[in-house]
Amino acid sequence: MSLPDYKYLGFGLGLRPEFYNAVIESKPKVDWFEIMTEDYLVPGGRPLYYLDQISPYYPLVMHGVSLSIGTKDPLNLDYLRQVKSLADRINPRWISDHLCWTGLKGYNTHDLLPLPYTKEALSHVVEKIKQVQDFLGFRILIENVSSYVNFKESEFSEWEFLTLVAEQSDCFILLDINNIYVSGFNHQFNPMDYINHIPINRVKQFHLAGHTQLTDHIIDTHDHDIVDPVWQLYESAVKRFGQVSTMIERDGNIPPFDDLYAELQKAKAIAAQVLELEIA
Amino acid sequence: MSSLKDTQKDFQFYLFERNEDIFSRITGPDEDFIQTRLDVYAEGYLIRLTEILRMNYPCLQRCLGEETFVEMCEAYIDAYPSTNFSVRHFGEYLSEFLIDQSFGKENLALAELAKFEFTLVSVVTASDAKTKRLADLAQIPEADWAYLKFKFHPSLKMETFNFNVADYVQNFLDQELCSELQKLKEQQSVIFWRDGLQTARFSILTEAQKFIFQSCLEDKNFSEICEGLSEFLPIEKVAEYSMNQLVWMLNNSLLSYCEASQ
Repeated sequence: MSLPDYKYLGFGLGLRPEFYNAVIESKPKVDWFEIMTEDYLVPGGRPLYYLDQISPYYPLVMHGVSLSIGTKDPLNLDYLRQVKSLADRINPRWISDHLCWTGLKGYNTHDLLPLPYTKEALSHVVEKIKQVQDFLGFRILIENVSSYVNFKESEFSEWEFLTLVAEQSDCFILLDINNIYVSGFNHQFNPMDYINHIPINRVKQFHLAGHTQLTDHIIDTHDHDIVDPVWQLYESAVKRFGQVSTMIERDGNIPPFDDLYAELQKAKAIAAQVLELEIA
Repeated sequence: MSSLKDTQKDFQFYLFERNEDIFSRITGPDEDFIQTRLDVYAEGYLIRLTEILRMNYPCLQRCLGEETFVEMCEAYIDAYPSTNFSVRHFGEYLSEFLIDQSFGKENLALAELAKFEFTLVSVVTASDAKTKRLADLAQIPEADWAYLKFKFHPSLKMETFNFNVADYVQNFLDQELCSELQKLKEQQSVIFWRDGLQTARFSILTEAQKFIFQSCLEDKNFSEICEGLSEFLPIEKVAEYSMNQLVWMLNNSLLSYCEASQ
């Protein structure tokens, strides 16, 4: 694959199977699509067929959930090889995964589990990201996850930890605005403290999403529309980080494509207003 | 201070066994708070994997009923935690697991039903290959026919069953009243394959068809197959039968190779 240049892509959506036909037939004015890497790590069939149909027309980025960068298990080289092979096939603009772990001793919980923010975890994650970047031959983006617990042993705040990870491993950051809001509510911190601490030059992508609000905590479910406080946080993020490739994640209760497209136009309008740009 | 590995071990232990060793590592005003937060992960783990099984085993779910199906899922998740990054593989040991279990029905029948459904699901993402059409066959010179060899689409799988699971699944797909799972008088061979991009199909084989499929898999040529078919059919019917079978295979996207090879 050609090496990523991490240039600004505009406003994108997740490429969900529900949208394959709409995307191929009507070529909607979406600037780019993010694919869920694991959906396409298959020998054949429908997903790869549609991906091959769509990839010539849109910039794509690969977003994974199985790198498990924080696990004390060794890196899964078989998984990485498959990721690299898919990247060679579709030439993504970049590859991202999460600052988390998904299982230990070879098990996979299929969840993005939280890390304690310790010096040990920091050096472990930094070393792992370097290994991944050496293997792939380019820098990856690491995303902040939403979380429901904090560890007593943590020595850093999450934003300090994420910053140190990015700077020491020389990776980029995929900043999930909704996850900052969710974790801020769950752990009672001010999301603006998070936003204001992240180094501007490291952030190459924003995620926006909806969530499920319970009485005393929020669960990151990606199955609702984006709520106003997250839109406000997004506005603040655009003020700080400027023009950053932005996409909306929707994994459940998926609405018609036009509804998601309208939500994407709202993101575009907010960014344009903050940056005093004309909406194309 | 605990190591990262210890923390991860205890955290995972809570997800798998609800072991509370992790509690002392989590911040919170009291144990109820900590448990509520940890249960977001623990319950999410069970829900996620149960949904995967629900999606891949709809007949088994109908056969067992919702309550028993959920009980079975929890027992399976406990016995075979996922070890693959892809959830597609998660159910692959369910058939094996059910052989030794009791969920209110004949366990061997349930195991075969699970094997049937997993096979059906697994062909959907099998490797791709161009399939031959009837027109391709017309291009083959008459003199070469005896030496024709065949290769199946990579998705093709052949399995044998002792229970009527194929009919059971067909009834389910046809939205008809499901028959009871029963042991067959004779073992049944079934082929599974993907037709087009995502349609998983299956077909119960007669003994003669089974012979044809096995022969193709053993790299026998058309002449050898026809010769062998005479054990199943009157000799005068062999030519017509073998041609009909070949046409059926071509029309159903089953063949990816069909060329003379001496």
